[in-house]
Order: sequence, then C-alpha cells, then structure tokens
Amino acid sequence: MSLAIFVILVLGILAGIYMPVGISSVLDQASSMMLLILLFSVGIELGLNRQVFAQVRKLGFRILLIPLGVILGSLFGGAIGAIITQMQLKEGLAIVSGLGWYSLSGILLTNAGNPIGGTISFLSNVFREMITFIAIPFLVKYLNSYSAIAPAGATAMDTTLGMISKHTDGKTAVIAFTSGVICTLIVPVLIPLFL
Amino acid sequence: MWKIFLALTVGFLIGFFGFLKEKQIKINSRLQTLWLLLLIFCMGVSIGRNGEVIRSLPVLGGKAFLFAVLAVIGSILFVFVLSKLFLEKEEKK
Repeated sequence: MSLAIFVILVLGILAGIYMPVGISSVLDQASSMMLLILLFSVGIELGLNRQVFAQVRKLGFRILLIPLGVILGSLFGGAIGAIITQMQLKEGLAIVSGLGWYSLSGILLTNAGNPIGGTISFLSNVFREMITFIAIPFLVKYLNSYSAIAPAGATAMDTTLGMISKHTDGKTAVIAFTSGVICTLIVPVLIPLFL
Repeated sequence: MWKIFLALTVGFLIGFFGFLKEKQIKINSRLQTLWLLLLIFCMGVSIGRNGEVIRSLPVLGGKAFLFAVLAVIGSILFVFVLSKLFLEKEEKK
C-alpha cells in the first residue's frame, strides 16, 4: 500500500506540474470534495462499530497523551533540526509547530517577517503530510496503532484520517480524529510562541 | 472545518442506524480505498500546480524535508513511548 501511495503521489505531482492549468485547477478543487466523500465513508464505518465510543471512553483523559506526544515530539525534532541546520532554536521550533497544517504555518511565519522560514515551514509540513501517508502502514505493522497517529499531527482530523482508519480500527480512528482536532486548535497558539 | 464534522456525522448516523445492507457495507469499504487514492492524487496535483512550491524546492526543499523527517520521528517516538507506558498496559490485562 505504501508503494502504491508513493507512486500515486508522485504521479499527482507530475500531473500537477505538466497538465494544462484548466484541468489541474478542477482536480485541485476536486480534492476537497474527495476529502468529504472519504470522511463520509469513514463515518459510515465508524457508525457500524457500536463499541467504538465505549472503548474510547475507557481511555478517559489519557487520550490527551496522544496529541501531547505529537506536540512534544515535533518540537523535539524541530530543536534537533535547528542544531543540525544551525538555525535559531525558535525558528526551528516555529517550522515544526505547524504539525502538518502547512497553509497556516507558512502564512504565520511569512507574515511575521520571515518569508524564508515561512517557505521552509510550508514545504516541511507538506512533506510531513506525504511522509505520513507512506509511513502509516509501517507504523501499524512494526510499532503500534497509536504511533500511526503520531506523524499525522493536525491532519489526523481530515486528510490522513482515512488512511489511519483503513489501516487500524474504529477506536484508533476516533482517537486520531480527536488528536487531530486538538492539534489543529493548538497550532495557531503554538506557532506565535516561537515568532 | 464544519464540513468535515458534517461529512463524518452524516456517515456515522447512516452506519449507526443500520441503513445499509451487508453488501453496501462491503462496497463502502472498497470505495474507501478508491476515495483515498483519488484524494492523494488530487493532493499531489495541488502541490504540483503550485509554482511557488516547485520553484522553492531546489533551494529550501532539503531543509524542509529534514525538519519534516525529524518532526515525524520525534512524534512517533514520544507517542510510542507514552502509549506503551500509559495506554497499552491495561489492554493486555
């Protein structure tokens, strides 16, 4: 599955570069429609599994450990990235604070007077989303289903939710969605801390 | 964002109240893979047609990729350890 996804992603990017603008703009708009159809389909599957919410409720507040791990882990990675690239620590932390939400992270850094940081952050969070798609099957297989939520960050509530749901179970999908919502709410607060 | 909640909720209610027959459930599960792959393709197109992304890739792509990989590894590490410590123990009992 990972290979298929990688190939389709690359084909999509190449198609986006070379196809006529008219067609690519239609496909660009189609992606938000695709997302809603996919989430509708995921919703059906969650509804079929009646124990899902009881299982999730058993975790209680511990469910917050997942977004907490995502945020702390991302910042940890950002700090190491800053050391390797010899950037300022706070710039490195700001870049990863998008948690996969590329449009917002790019704009916030750019508007704060750092267009290069903004572009790096934008690209980096785009890459994060792509890596997530490819990594999920491996993480489920070799670590556990919770760790498959980790790379998704804020995208666990939308674009990568279908992928997580497909490779794990209803319980994990609900936790992923919750974690994605929390990450999405945190991003606008987190990034300004490092500007 | 409300559209996401709406799509999930409508789907959930349809599944929950048993509007679908066995066969339709199977079709839904198969279609899900199709939607997923179409979504990924369309997302690729969105990235590819974004001239700014493609232009800045050769200069800033390397750094961006490094940060993406490190953030992903960090997140996986933290979530994996936290889930082993606090979430998985009970499940095994």
